[in-house]
Amino acid sequence: MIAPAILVAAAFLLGVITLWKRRSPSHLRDIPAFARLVRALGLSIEDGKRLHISLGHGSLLDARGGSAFAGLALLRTIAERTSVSDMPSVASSGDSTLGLLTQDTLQAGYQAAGVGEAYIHTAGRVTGLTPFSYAAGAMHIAQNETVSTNILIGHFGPEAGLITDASDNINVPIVGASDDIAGQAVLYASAQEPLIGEELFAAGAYLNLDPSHAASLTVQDIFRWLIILALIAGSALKFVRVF
Amino acid sequence: MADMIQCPVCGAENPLGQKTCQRCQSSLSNDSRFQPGQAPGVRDTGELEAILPQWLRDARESAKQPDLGDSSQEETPAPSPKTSASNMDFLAGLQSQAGDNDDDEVPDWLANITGVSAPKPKAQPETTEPSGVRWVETGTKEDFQQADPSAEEVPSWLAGIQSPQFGTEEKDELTDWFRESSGNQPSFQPPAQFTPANDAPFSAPASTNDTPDWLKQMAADAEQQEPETPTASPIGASDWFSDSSTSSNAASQAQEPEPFNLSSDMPDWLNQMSASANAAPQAKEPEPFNVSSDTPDWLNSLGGESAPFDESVPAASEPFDSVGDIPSWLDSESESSKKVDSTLGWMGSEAETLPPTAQPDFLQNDALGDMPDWLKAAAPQSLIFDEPTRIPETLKNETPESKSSASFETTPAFSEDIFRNEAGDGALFTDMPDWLSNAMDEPPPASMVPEPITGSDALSPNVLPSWVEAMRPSDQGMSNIVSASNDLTLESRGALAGLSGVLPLGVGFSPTNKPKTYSNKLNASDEQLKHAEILEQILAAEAAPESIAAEKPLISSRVLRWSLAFILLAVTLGTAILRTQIFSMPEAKPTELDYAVAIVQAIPENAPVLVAVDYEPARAGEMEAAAAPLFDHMLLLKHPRLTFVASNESGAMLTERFMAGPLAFHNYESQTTYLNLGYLSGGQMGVRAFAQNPSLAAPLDIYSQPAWTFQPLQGVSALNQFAAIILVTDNADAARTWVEQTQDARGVVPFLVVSSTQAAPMIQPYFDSGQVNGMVSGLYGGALVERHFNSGRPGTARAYWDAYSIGMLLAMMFMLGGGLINLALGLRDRAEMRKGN
Amino acid sequence: MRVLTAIIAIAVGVLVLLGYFLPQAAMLQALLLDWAIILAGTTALIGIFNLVSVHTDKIRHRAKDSIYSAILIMGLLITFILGLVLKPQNPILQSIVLNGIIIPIEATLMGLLAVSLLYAAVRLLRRRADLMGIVFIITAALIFLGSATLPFGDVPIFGTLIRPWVSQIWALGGARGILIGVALGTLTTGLRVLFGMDRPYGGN
Repeated sequence: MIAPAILVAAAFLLGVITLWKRRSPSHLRDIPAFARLVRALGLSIEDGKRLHISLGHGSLLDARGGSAFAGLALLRTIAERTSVSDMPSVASSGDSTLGLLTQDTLQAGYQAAGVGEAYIHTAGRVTGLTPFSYAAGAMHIAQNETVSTNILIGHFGPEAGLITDASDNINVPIVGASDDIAGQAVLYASAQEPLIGEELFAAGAYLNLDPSHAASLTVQDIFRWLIILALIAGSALKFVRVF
Repeated sequence: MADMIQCPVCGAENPLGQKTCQRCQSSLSNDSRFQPGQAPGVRDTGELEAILPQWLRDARESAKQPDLGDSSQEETPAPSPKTSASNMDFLAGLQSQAGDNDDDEVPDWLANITGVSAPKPKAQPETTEPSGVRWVETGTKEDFQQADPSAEEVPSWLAGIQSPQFGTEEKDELTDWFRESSGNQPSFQPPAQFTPANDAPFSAPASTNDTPDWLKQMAADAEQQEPETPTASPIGASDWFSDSSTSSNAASQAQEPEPFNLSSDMPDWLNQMSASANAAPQAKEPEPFNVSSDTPDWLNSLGGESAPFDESVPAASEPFDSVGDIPSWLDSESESSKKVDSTLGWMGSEAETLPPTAQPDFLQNDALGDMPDWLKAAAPQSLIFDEPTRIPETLKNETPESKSSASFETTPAFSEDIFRNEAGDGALFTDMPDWLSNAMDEPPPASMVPEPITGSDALSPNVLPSWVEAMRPSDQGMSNIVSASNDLTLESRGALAGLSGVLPLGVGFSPTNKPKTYSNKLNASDEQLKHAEILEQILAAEAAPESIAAEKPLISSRVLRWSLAFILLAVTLGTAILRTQIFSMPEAKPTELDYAVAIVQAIPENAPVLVAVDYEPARAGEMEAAAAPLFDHMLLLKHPRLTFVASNESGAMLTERFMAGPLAFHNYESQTTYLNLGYLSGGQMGVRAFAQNPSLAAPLDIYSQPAWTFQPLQGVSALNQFAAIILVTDNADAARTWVEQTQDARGVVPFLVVSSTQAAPMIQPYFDSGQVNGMVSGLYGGALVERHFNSGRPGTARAYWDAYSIGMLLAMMFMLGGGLINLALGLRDRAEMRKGN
Repeated sequence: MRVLTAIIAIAVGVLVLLGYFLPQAAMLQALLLDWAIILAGTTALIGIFNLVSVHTDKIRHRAKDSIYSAILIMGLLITFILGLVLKPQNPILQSIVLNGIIIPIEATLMGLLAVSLLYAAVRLLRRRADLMGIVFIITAALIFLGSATLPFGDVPIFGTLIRPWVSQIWALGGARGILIGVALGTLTTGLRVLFGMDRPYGGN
């Protein structure tokens, strides 16, 4: 009964807070990675270079789909803003289902910017179906396609180190986020601006300013505090041998 | 009042039959006045530009050069007066190229000449200032206040000379006339330097040594006549003015001037002037030539030296009406036209009309002696000319300084091509404008001689009206125009003040004073200045780009990268190839490993065991080394029937490799002792589906045979019928998937995990919670099983252990040592960055 | 069309979710999951087609390094044909494709990754000279030291005490916290998709 209760509570809070956020936009704390990301959007257009968004190899059919959806939300915003650039952004993924949605999201961004005819299907690519084959394909894009910034957001394991290393070779900055612990450790050591933990899911709120994204962050904070209280209370009760 | 007539110029009341004003000697005839309806319209005479005088071309060139513009104009751009409809045709041609605002603004070339672009309200009708001479328009309206409204509409100097019968003449004959006269007077040939080059329209003679002969002759004549004309120069008039005048007087005495030949091709503006003069009642009878002190001497001297061109030119028009509104040089023209039949006889006639010693009093006492008559007429005469002031002698001999750097290096009007004689000397004045010819026919009557200006209203010496002062260009604005000649005199007085090279100069003439400079400093208090400064700072802050902190990128170090790679590869490869066994195998056994071995040992003999494979080929070496000891131990002890299923794409092939590699000596055969169900697609959902109904999720083996009929799966239809489930994975997510999705289906079936070292920490909690019953993690766990439970078999872990250990130690040393060095460098960089900021 | 896709997506999501809690919806959930598995297998083919089309375009436009694209296409076709003819478990095929190509390449990438990670760790304090960077380096060094052995046995204290203490208490505790945060983010993201707030499908 705990799981349905959590789901219902989360859904209720998400709906209510979304309506509240529409009336009073929230203030988000500064995250350097997102500041760099916003700056990279403008610089890429001015420099005549493209952004490379790596969405990882998280499947939509398992728990890693959450990070994939977060990456797609970010891709939607980036595609809309950079679609008029001479060098449109390119997105890579390591899962076939995610690759389909990547192309769909890119096309939606182009259409929202009014340049739907400028979309080319090769802007969304499936570079490999295994983590390392995917990383190898993404490395090639990062190094050889006039990329100004590599944005890694999604499910990445240690293979993310190969992509960051390829970018570092040509001194291209990296903004990285992963829902995998090993991937986060690698990105922390090799990326200029890593995102830790649930910061991955805040990308939409920081770039899109959509009330639902901000509301989801608030719901996460509420549940996080509830979990903290539950952990402390449970540890205390365990310590006193209540159960 | 019915029998009185009001003077259109000064407003004085005159008897009805009076033809000229008793006060200002202006014509009282209505038909002699300038009629707005008679004003010729602006014509585009672009086709006539080819025959424009050179000095006009040069002036246009200067207008196209922004560098030659007056800085004062740039600083305080004044609204230009509207173009009058009575503009001269040749000026209309200029305006056609002046710019878009031809009708609203003074052309740049004219603004450069005047030095000031005087504002004129647009609302003013064109007829208020119909003069085609723009420099009149540069004055303010207050400067031209007239008692008579009609005089406001038409400058008096134009009103008196307009003639309807010539008003229709539109052809620009002046150029031809100039050209012919030039041709008839070789002595007027200007130096070559005066003829501008194509790109240097205002080039001038480099020095006074280049003074043409005719100018030298003029100077010589002036020296000869100077004693005779000590009082001829009005106040403020330059000596060169007087000299030339006296020179022309002397010449005119020796020669009988003949009237100009009336030309029907006279320009409109001249037609209007001459028509006005002809229409004046006083002009019907010959008038004595009125020598104006404003007439340049060089013009007089021209007349005096025009003896070779004394061909008679028949007068064909009415005599020139030399009223006070007409510029004196026009007066002299009319007079000289009667007596001098050579080129520019009107200039020389000045001398003849008035003896050098008997100039009119108004000239001698003219307080505006440095002003042309036309300016006098335009000025409020009732105030200026009522009381003329006698000219101090000290001011008569002022000689303008010659400046090599002229503010505006205008090519002299008498350029070479202007005076080029095309028809011979005898034909010089055959096309003389009528108004000039008429002007020479009859000398102006004595009544036309203006009264001397006396009284306190007269301007004192060197005091100019404000509007004239405003017309002066500043030296600063003109200083950027570098003159190549010393012959270009900067006019210091009169309406031409600030201009240089407009008129040919005599030797030794130079202006004596500099134009007044005006301060542009604001009269503001300290508080206002402080506020203004704050406002400037605010505006500057808004306009300033936001400074973004410069980011010093960390440049990749290929040397470090290659060094690390080389050392690591060399040490680990060397150790592995040499198969050294220097480093001891690990000793400490974790609890989960003991549990895993215990479960394996508890499996029934020949029992079905499900093995889930989910690792990448990249980690095949580690995973095989970790799993081989445990499987070897299990196969040796219990001979289980193995069923493999993969939850990633490469798992099926890696299974075959594993069975054919480290476990090959167990001779397990596919479909007999082990079965490979292949890849289970769908990820987490596929695992869940397999857990719920294995035979449905994976009905076939990798050979596409019905898997559930083979020996390894005999008696098995559900997940809980396996004796044990072993997951071999390098991915914590895969472990979580298998743990969570099969938890209900497997029941109490033991669940073991063989994981990579990387995934082990994340799987450890499942062991702690009891969801995983045992775990072997990485090479470390395989080495422990191999050493402690399998008697060193199969030896895979042992083969890798030395390379593994030495690689770990090397990595630790590099990390610590390099970390310390880079920490120091990083702190240094941050300190430098702080200093930079 | 967009509304229809949104309705389908939301309805399927709600039904699968209900299947976890309501036994009556379990059958429908299983059916939908089977469809999803089939679609996932199909999308794998689509992903391969995308890979082929991208590299075919590179070859057609003679892009930089298009020779590698040609090698990729050729390798794909050869492997596919050999797999159809010889079956995946064929020793020859396995020896050529898996042992000869896939594993060496991926193992090489793994080795490169080891060097890259070591290089990144060494340079970490140059880029981020702060307390967390120092803690990161020290923790990694402790794990390295505890995982290795010396010629005379385990590294005293580190292998038996410090390494398990660091990896299973501190590192695991932090990892758990991070994973809980990730799980919460996944929960709210899933709810946004379920409610149609995020619709990364149908061109929205």
